Amino acid sequence: MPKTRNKTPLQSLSFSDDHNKKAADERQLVARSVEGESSAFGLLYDQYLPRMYRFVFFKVGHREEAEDLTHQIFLSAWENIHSFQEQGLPITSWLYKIARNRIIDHYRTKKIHTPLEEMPHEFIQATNGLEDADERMQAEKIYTSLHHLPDDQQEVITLRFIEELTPKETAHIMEKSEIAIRVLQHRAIKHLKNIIET
Amino acid sequence: MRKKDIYTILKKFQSITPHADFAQKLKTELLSRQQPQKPFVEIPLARLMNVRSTHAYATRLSYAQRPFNAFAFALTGILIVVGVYTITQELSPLFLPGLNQKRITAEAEMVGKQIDIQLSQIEYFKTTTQKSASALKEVTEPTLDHLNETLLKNESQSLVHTDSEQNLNEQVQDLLRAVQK
Repeated sequence: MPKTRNKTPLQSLSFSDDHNKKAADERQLVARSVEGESSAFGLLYDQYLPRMYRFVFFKVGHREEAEDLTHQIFLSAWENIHSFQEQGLPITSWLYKIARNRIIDHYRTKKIHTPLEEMPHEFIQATNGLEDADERMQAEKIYTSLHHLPDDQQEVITLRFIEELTPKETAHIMEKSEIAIRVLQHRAIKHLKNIIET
Repeated sequence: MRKKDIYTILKKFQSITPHADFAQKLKTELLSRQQPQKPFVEIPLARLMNVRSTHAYATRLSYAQRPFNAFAFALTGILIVVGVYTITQELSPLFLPGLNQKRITAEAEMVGKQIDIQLSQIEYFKTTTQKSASALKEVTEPTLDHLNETLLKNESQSLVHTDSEQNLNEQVQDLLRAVQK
């Protein structure tokens, strides 16, 4: 789960350099986007679209709704990029916050909850790399079980284990403390495991 | 199922991505949109700060630049107030004659003089009234004012004694004594 586990010191240093370089590049892209440079925002879009789409998809469970919400997220981000203020966190945290707000509004206005799609295209796509049939079944179980978790547990699993965000970034997005996030993720995994095994 | 297996499978869900058509269509739509314009007052400010585009004000107006923005607005407000005051001073004789400072000063002085005149008149009337009242009192009251101590004292003080008068007085005194004998 952590990115630097089982690495040699040299590998860790190299990873750290890469990480710093990526962070610097991202800050530059954000700065140029804030100035109104659409091409810079386009690069950010390419980088973060899959993450935002996945985050929304695991929430709503439907491709069309996920596309619609993703559209709203990036539209809002582009229109309000000038108000983004970096508080020591990457732009992903800001984008995830927009996504959470859009999802809340979506469920507030939508009166009927559409049932989860069975074996959506995205899930088949995800499990294509799994050769073992048992592994595929387990993946299907995990996917289905995720939607039976409470919202905050599902969200912490998505952010920490699928998107691999740090506890600090996850805490900022979910507006909780890091300790609360660690406790929440522990409970979420335990709950998920129980659902899978029942 | 072990936790490690759950983590492994969850990580594989990273391969879930949107359709390529949707991604391209959304990108094209976004980048063809312009960002909303800021209020008119900030565009001249942006030009004053020599920024490259009207959208660049967003960078300049970061939290580090807001004191400058506040200072600029305060300065503008002060300039407006000073300008209005100056214009009022220069143009007031034409539109508001009553506000001419010199004229107001002259009128005030005139009023002051009139008040002084009235006060002196009041004082005069007061004095004459007192004298008239005392004169009327002397005439109307049947008292022997020539024996009034205050009156005698005042009269004696006003008398001027010369040498010739002194001799004359002595002579009169002698005559009176002779008469009394």
